[in-house]
Amino acid sequence: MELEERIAEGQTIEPTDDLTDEYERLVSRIVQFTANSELIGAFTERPMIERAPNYHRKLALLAKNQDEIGHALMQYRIAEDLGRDREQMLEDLLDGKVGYGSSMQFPVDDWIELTAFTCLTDGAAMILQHSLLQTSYGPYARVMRRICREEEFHLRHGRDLLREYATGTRAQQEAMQEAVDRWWPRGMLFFGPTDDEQSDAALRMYDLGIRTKSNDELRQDYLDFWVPKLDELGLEIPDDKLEYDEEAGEWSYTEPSMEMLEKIRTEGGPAGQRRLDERRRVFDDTKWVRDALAAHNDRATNRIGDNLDATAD
Amino acid sequence: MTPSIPDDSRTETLEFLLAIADDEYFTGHRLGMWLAVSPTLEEDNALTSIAQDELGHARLWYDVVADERSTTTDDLAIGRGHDDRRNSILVEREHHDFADAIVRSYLYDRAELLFLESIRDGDVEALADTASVALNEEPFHREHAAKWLEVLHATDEGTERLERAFETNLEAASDLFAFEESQQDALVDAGVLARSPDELAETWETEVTKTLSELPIDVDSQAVADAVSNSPSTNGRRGEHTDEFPAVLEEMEPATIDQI
Repeated sequence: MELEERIAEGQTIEPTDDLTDEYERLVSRIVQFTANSELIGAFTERPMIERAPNYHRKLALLAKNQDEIGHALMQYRIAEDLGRDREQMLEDLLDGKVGYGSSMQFPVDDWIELTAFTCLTDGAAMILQHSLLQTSYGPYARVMRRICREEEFHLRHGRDLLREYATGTRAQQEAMQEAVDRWWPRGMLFFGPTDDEQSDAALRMYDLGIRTKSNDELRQDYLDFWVPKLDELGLEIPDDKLEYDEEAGEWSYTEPSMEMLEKIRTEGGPAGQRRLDERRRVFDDTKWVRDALAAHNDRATNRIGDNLDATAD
Repeated sequence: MTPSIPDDSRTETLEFLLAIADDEYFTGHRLGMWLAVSPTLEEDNALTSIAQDELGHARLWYDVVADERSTTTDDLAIGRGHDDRRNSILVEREHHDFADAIVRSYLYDRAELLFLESIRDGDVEALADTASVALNEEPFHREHAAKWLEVLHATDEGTERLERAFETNLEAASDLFAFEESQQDALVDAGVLARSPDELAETWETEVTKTLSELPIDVDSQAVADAVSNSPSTNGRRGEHTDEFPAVLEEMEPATIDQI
């Protein structure tokens, strides 16, 4: 049976199957995007580990971001199994050739910003990850199962912080509200263009079951999840069109600004280029280590080869 | 065995435990800052695991001191200024490069292991138990450093960086065991330590010299001997620190609204 027929029947596709070039390319594309987002997300939160308010938070943020690195790693490995080279994938990220979550292009300079970032950006990524549990590509679905399990803990960590600041001192409450005002539109933007503006590649991803929910459907899930949680804490959502339509069973809201999305795509967000430049610098600074590792592994391989030759004699 | 810290050596013991806790804290902190910026994602993962272990060990000792002094672990770990810190100057500077991180971890781990074993083999039960818990995680740290010491000399650049890292770190290591004689005596007499820091320094010198002799890099073995015999020009155990240290602590100040 042809690949598309199998997908239409709901079968899971495995690396050992006869994959079309298109399928491989599109799987790699979304996998790289979600892997990049994990890595840049950890890079974004990293400075806040140093500046944690207390020991408990410091350890929790370190552990959380170690998970995120693990998530990036598992996903890059999926792409590696499809023939992508890790070093090249990182180069592509740092050169801006393959993207990552648009809301990771904004600065995070204190723990209240971090809280908004964690809830409304990671929180958006989590909605996407949940939808990918149903992806047609087996290895990706299995990795997502593990990621979603771990993200449950991250969500708890994020909501715990949100509660602390939203119910804290007056200054904290105000700062938390201001942070929600800034981050809410970015969270909505995370899901990308509205459905009528989607690219051909995105549409093919649905045809091939790589993605199972559209950007607007994901936004609905995001609203279902976050609106009650922000309400409960007395945080206002900065969208005067936001309303639940009982009859249609869905939210109406202010469409995310496609202009803003286009601007981020072409020019980058306020912290996007700086982050990539910094990450590029450390990538270059540590190249000598990867070179040494490669030379060491070559030597080890040669030694094994020599021994085999000796045995053959 | 005595169940808890003897009263007549309480001050010396708590000061010593704070030194050990501060060592672990800054080591864990520095290693944790490799998250998302280390040479590979696999290494991000390994270094942050070790960082969490070391921060966990630091917390064990801060908890002991916090209990005894009726204060909190946060006040001890995060709230103390540079004059009050008792960590070795070895662990306080930023890592210059990855070789620096590995060599420093190696030198520090050897010392940490000796301190922990000496507490474990001591007579104070509560402390011996705590040391045993921390010791459980040490084998992985040692394997990690040993692996990289073997890898990094595979290229000329790696060899040079390793050599430089040993030179600078051995210089900074001379306060690792440099506790005051009177404090050393009190710790051994009270049974907090089975072996004095001076004795541990000798073992450390032997082990480090052996490791260096097995590596194809050029580091003068006199540098190891100097590290344990020279009296340190800056001794973190006495609250003396490098010029960079206040800035390090400043960078670690909490970024939350209550601090604004």
